[in-house]
Amino acid sequence: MTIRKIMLLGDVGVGKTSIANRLVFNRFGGDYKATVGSDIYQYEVIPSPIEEPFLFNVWDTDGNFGEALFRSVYIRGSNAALVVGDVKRRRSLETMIELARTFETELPGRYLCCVLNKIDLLDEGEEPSVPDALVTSGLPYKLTSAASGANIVDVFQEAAAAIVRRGQ
Amino acid sequence: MPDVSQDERWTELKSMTAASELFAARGAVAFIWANRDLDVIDAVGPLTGEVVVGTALTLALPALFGLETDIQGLRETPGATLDVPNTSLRALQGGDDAGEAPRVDITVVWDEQNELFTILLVRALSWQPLQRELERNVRARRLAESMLLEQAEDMRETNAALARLNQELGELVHVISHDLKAPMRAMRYFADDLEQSLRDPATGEPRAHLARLKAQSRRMTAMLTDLVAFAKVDRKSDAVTAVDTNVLIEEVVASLPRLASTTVHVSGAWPRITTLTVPFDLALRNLIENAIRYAKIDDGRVTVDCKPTPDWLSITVSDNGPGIPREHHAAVFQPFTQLGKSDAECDLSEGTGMGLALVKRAAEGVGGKVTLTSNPDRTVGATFRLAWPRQIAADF
Repeated sequence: MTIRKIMLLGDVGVGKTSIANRLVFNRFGGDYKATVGSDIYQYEVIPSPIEEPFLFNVWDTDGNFGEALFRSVYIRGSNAALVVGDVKRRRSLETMIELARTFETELPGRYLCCVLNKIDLLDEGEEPSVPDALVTSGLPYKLTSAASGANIVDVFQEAAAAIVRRGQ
Repeated sequence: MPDVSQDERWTELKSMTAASELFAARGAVAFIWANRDLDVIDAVGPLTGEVVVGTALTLALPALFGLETDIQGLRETPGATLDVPNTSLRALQGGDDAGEAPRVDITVVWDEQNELFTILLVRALSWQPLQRELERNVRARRLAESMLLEQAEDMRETNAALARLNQELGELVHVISHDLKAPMRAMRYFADDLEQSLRDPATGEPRAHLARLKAQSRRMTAMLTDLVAFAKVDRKSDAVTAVDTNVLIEEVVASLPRLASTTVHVSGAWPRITTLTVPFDLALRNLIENAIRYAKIDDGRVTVDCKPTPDWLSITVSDNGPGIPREHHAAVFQPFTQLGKSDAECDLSEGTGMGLALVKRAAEGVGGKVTLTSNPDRTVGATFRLAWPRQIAADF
């Protein structure tokens, strides 16, 4: 089975590890434990009914890396990135956009999607606050909840399909 | 390269096992060897149970996937290493997610003598439970501090908004206490005149006094209506929708009454935008209504032009009226301001003096701006320029 490498980037505490755990183990732990360094998860994905499945190496990275990640060995050879922000924390969304732009510059042509996580924390009827800079940037984005599982599998599925379309 | 047989090399490798076990006791948890094609040819150490000889190195060690080029590059630079620090080997699909994952520093080196890649896995320092817990606690505290800072920033913004609202409320109270008294005072004078004329017909025609009194009553009602509109204009309860400004400007111009001698010419490009329809409509309507009102009576000319940029609409509304002296430029945007008119002279047909105040409030409510250019000493008329954002976020 072939392998592809996908990065989970984003500020500290935005839910990258929770997303990986929801994807791979379909579980969610409410307790917060910061990731130190990087954790690698593996997840088998079928890009489309007519494509062969492949294995995603999901790199869950330390939120403290910030832009320094792009100068590290961790990012090398990655096929795609999901850049995560906390929909309730404005600053984490600003960091998300900055990281996404750097990823586009450093690894041009690779699939990239911004993930606005923790939509389960929105009040009933509250619309998620999608930053203008994200809307106008043209970057694709998705709303997710690792707590409820909403859209978690979908974002990886879309990433897989895009990677195959791009022949990466 | 020394000329040694495969068997001899293999024996040599096996002899290293004892040393490897010693390394393991000191923190090294695995040695893996791979050939030029990056296939695993041997592995020793407590963390190598899942490593199958003959498989691809990057399959056995997912952390090395994507780094194949870097690994092969080591052959060109003897002595160089590739380090992948502080990485967990956890969480393979279907594996056990319970417990603490072992964390390792991975080092890859090219063994030129044996023509093999040697991969050393050493416990990462942060794998030590106490140290790792300490690091996590420090990070959790930093996260909490960052969230507190964000909340403090939100609170500062809320306080600033409250201060602005308080100031506006103060201005509104001033307007109500001062400007709304004017028509009431005029009504009292006209009522006195009416009473006087009823007693003594020589002091005037009662019907005329009554008509003036009724006019002031209507003016008072119109002022109150505009005041309510003024208070509401920047409320965020309206939905942000797509607006075809081309259609809107036609509707606004068609709906405004004017003398037969007054023409309104619309030019420029009027695109679709995403905005709050009511304040935008209100701003356009009042700017054009104001221009129509002050254009020349016998040959009134009003031009309305739009020049869109990627982020803004720049709308200008010009008239060929008497213009506005510079010293009054700021005052025209104040509520209930009509230049050169006393309270008693204010006629309802000439508006309440709220139009430009409404435009200013509507524009500033969406982050836009309205400015005035007019210099009666040099040019005819006045030009108002409205800068309106093309895009307003749905959560505005």
